[in-house]
Amino acid sequence: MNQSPILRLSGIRKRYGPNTLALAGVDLDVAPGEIVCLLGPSGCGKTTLLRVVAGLETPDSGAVWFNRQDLSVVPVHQRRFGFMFQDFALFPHKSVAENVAFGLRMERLPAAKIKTRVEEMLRLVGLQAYAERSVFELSGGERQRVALARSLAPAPQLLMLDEPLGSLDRTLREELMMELRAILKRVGVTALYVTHDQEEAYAVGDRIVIMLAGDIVQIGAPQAVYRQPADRSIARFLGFSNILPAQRHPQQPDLLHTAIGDISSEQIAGAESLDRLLLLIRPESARIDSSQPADARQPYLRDHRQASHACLGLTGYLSGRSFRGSQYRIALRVPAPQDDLILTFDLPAYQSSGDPGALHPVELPADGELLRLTIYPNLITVMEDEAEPDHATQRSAG
Amino acid sequence: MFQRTLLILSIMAALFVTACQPVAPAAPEPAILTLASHDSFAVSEDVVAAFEEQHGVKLQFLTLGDAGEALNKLILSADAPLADVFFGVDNTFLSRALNADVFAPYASPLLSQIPDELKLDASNRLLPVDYGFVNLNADAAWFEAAGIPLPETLDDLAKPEYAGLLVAPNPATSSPGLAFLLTTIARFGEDGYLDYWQALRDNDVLITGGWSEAYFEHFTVGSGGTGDRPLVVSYSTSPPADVLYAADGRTEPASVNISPPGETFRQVEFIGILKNSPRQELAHTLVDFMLDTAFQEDIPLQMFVYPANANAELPELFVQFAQAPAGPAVLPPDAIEASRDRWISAWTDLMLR
Amino acid sequence: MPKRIQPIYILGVIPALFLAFFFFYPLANILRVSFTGEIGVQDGGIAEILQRPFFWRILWFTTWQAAASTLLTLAVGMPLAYVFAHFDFAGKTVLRALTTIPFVMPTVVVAVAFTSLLGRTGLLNQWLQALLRLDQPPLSLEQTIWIILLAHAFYNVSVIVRTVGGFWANLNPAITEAASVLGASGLRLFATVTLPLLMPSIAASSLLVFLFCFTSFGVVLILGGLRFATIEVEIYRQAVSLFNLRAAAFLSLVQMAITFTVMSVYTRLQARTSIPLDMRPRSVTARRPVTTIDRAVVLLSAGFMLFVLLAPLAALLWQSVTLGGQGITLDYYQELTINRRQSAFYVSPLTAVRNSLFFALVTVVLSLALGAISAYLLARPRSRLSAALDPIFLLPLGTSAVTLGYGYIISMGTLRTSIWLVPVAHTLIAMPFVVRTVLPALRGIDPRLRESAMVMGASPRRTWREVDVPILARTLAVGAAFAFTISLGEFGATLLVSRPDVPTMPVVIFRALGQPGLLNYGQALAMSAILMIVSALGLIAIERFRFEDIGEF
Repeated sequence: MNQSPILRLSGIRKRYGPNTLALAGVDLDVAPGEIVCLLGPSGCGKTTLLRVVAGLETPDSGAVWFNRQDLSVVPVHQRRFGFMFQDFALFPHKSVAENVAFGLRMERLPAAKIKTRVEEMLRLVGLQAYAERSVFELSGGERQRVALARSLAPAPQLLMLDEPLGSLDRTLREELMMELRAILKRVGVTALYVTHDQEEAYAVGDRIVIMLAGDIVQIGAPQAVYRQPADRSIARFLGFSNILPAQRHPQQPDLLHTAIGDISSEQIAGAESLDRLLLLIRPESARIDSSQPADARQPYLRDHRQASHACLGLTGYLSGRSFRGSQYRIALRVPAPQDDLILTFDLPAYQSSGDPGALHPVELPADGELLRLTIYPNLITVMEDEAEPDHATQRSAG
Repeated sequence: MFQRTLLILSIMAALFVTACQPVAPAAPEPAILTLASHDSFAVSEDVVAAFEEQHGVKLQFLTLGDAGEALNKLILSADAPLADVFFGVDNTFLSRALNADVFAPYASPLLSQIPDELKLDASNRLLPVDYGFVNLNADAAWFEAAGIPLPETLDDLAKPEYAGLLVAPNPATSSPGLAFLLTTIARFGEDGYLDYWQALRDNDVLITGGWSEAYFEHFTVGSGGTGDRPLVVSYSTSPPADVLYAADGRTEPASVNISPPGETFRQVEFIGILKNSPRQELAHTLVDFMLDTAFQEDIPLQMFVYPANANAELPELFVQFAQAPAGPAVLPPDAIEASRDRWISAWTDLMLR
Repeated sequence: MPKRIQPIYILGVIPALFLAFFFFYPLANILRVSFTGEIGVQDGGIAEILQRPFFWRILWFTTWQAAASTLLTLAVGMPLAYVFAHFDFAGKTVLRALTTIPFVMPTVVVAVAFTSLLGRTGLLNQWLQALLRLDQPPLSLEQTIWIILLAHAFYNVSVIVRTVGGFWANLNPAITEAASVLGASGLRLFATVTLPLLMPSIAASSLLVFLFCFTSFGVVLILGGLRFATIEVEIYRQAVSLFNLRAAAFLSLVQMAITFTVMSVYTRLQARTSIPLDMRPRSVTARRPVTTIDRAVVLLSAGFMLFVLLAPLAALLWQSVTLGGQGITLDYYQELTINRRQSAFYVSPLTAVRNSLFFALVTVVLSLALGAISAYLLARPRSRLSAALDPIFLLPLGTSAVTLGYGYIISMGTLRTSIWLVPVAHTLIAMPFVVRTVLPALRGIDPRLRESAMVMGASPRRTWREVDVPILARTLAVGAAFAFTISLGEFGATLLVSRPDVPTMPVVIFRALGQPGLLNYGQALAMSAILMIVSALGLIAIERFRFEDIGEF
């Protein structure tokens, strides 16, 4: 970060009752104009953190600094922040325009100024024509825009958004994600954005802050977080299920031993210095290998050279599939000495098969049949195999 | 928030202070004399004005509910009396009032003008002010039209031709109702009155909660024609009221009294000075005033009862239509106080269960 | 942020003090005097009361008639509540005001109206006789349990109509619409979706009706004819007729214990069912009637009930201009303006109206302020204090008026003859109504509405003004309507020492009914009609009252 932070959280702790630790001493810096996404499962404390920053909750210890001012003595209504709630909390007794005007009225701006600002805001969210409507006449997406316009109208120094798309349906959500980011960036507001949906976080955030069980466990740019989850529980939370424990072979240090076969360690970036590790095989890392028939007598996972590139070969029984238009999601059962592994992959529905000028529909074998896949090792992420961090063992509320 | 708290608190405080201010202004003149009574108390403006002018005091009136309730409230507040003078103890409550020992004796010089038969308290703590008679009222026109003679005695009411004609208020909740029950006890004796009521019950007597419902809802005269009972337990002074408050300018009452000797009940109302009142002297003047002719002659048309003072002249309406019945039933107040509960319970068990 | 005491707890002291001074102190005082003092009849102790089968019979009767009356009131009130909540039609405000009028009518007058309609020679019997060619009147309701139940329903139906109706009107129609898409329809839809959502308000209003019927006095005494006795009637008998204070105090305690139990059970259930609700402004939920058979049925039944409800009032009005069978006349109204007896206590009808309105207005202000604060105190979620306080705020409703009245006499010092005690006593009865009507709506306010107002720069006070007040405005208006009618109807009037020089409308009615003569009867009817009109106008004014810049919600 090359700018001094506008918002600094240090050591925020919050406990509800004796058994519920909502925030376990959170530290975070946010740069001006930055959109930081707090990403975590429900109950991880992200909403509580947002409420602490807004002043709606008082932390047990720790401090919130904004513009180098300690906010602990500043009551909610004097913080000049914006807050967008999950179900928007639009005032049911006020019209769209009155909702948007609320914060401006609280600043005692002259009526004419309020009027222009409200118009400006409604234009920003594309609802110019809706000013006099009742909020009940609006669709979900329109309400979301009104809520955004309302929270942006007083030009807050910091905007907090608590699952702002959470109550919308999927298509609308995807549409609004991009728009939301565009508007926030256009206005240039510093924003804290809470969500449990990683795609939303990737799409909106400049930086992602992953929270588990009241603690920040990883901070980074969306791509960095996606590419390199810091540990197994974060990877699980991010939806990666293909996690394969591996050990360096005692006799042959360049071999990695797994339950379903040994592979050469030099193919796997980041594995050099580790003896015990976890291989995170991304679902998008596989393609169908139709160069030779599948053979169950070979190890299920092994080194495999395709053209002049080092790859991995994986064989398993197709145990489920769902067609998703541009791709298939498949489940592959790979027999292992103890429990069989089930690995999931996203396979493009079209694949080039030698002919560079065309893509052909992928033919999947019948369920239960053997399937041979090529795995691209650069899409395998290595994580240290430590004892599972106990994020999940503490109960927490968010 | 704090400002609001302060605001509301101060409003409350202001309200409270206002409320706590004594109703009597702090200024000593004119002195205020308080007369408590039951809800039926009434008096003319000029009579009040005359007293206030004559004695340089201001009269304040309080009403405390029905006769029994009012007396109870006075007994409860005996240590810090609600009023200086209380008017409205009747002979059915006389013993309770005297036993509670809340009134001070006062032998008013005007007692000499009051017939002895009304003076039921020898200690002169309660002095008679007025009296009335509970008897039957009948719709004369109705009986004429139906070709049935008016009943002449209580016994008649049990006869088949008078079936379904009588309405009476409940003795447990109404003072004329109690008076009528006492009449039957005096007339038929403690052994006989329940048999009489059983006969009335068999003859379809209607019992109402209060006098108002009996008279206005059910009595053919009182209801203006919508009622279905031409006989009601009411007062001997009801016929003059029927003329005075007629809607059609009639000069003769539509109802007549049926008051056979020994079969009416006399209610005497008394006045007393609260013994803890600090204004005993002034209270004496009020009692004297209320026993004197000016007030006494105001009584009949205000409260529809007879003045106790023999020198008070009756209004023409009373002379014409409300001759006091002779020979009312006799029951001593202490007997009433001692047995009222038992009599009413027995009656209730018989009539309403 | 340093921890500090929440302002609501500071404010909460006010209603607590009010109750302590005007309720618990006089109550404790009279109980002490009753059990230890030497006043009144001393024999006939508590053990004796308990041994009498009469006591248990009264206990049982009081309870079951209150339960039956509540059910009947609900049956009559729900269709009306539905219609008022869901349809816009001409004269709606007036009609709703009319349903509330019975609440203010003195029992004697209602008895007159009932008799003229339902009595042996009443209109209904006359019609039925003519219609069915009968020799005898077919209905004989006088002094039966039916007339008590009917009268209770007649009196209390507005509690259901206003409380449930107000709630229903703001319920999001999308919820029921969604359910009907899922295949629920008619009764099933109502039973599975609407009813549970309405439950908090149904429970709250039923509780109020139950308490009113449980402590019923006038209706049972006057219409039931003492064939029936509630605990309250028996307390009156013991305290007034027999002056057995010990027995009366014991019965009062029994009555309070039962009501307290009922209320505790209720508050527990209520706390469990209260959820933030998705509320809608009335403009969205109320519409012009749409023609479907379902709606026609509801409208018809509501119309019928409205007719039944209003018939006694119409009969009264009619009688006030035709009494005496001389054709239509305004004589009785004119008589009101004449001081025929030169009475020192005469006031013009206008003065009586003014006196009544004065007390009613003070009652409205006091009970709204105290009731709203109490509701805030009670609305705090999961607070033990709230759970404990809740039934206590309702206790005045379950307390014998006679007992409390005696308490005032011995406890209030010079205040006992002050006219200010009148609105105070009315407030004791009205406050629980305000609390019960405001509380469900208050609990229904999404806390995030307040939070978003605060984040946008509204101070706590401003937040209250901008969010709570407009959203609660409707229920506050309902509470105000109850306070107004309770005061106009002189509830608990027996409680007090009254000043004959400041008569209210009901007092004028009682006075007129105290003496024979058709002009007196006619005056009482005329004054009742005026009371009806004044309360209707007052209720309409309350409904129209709007806080300056908020929309209708």
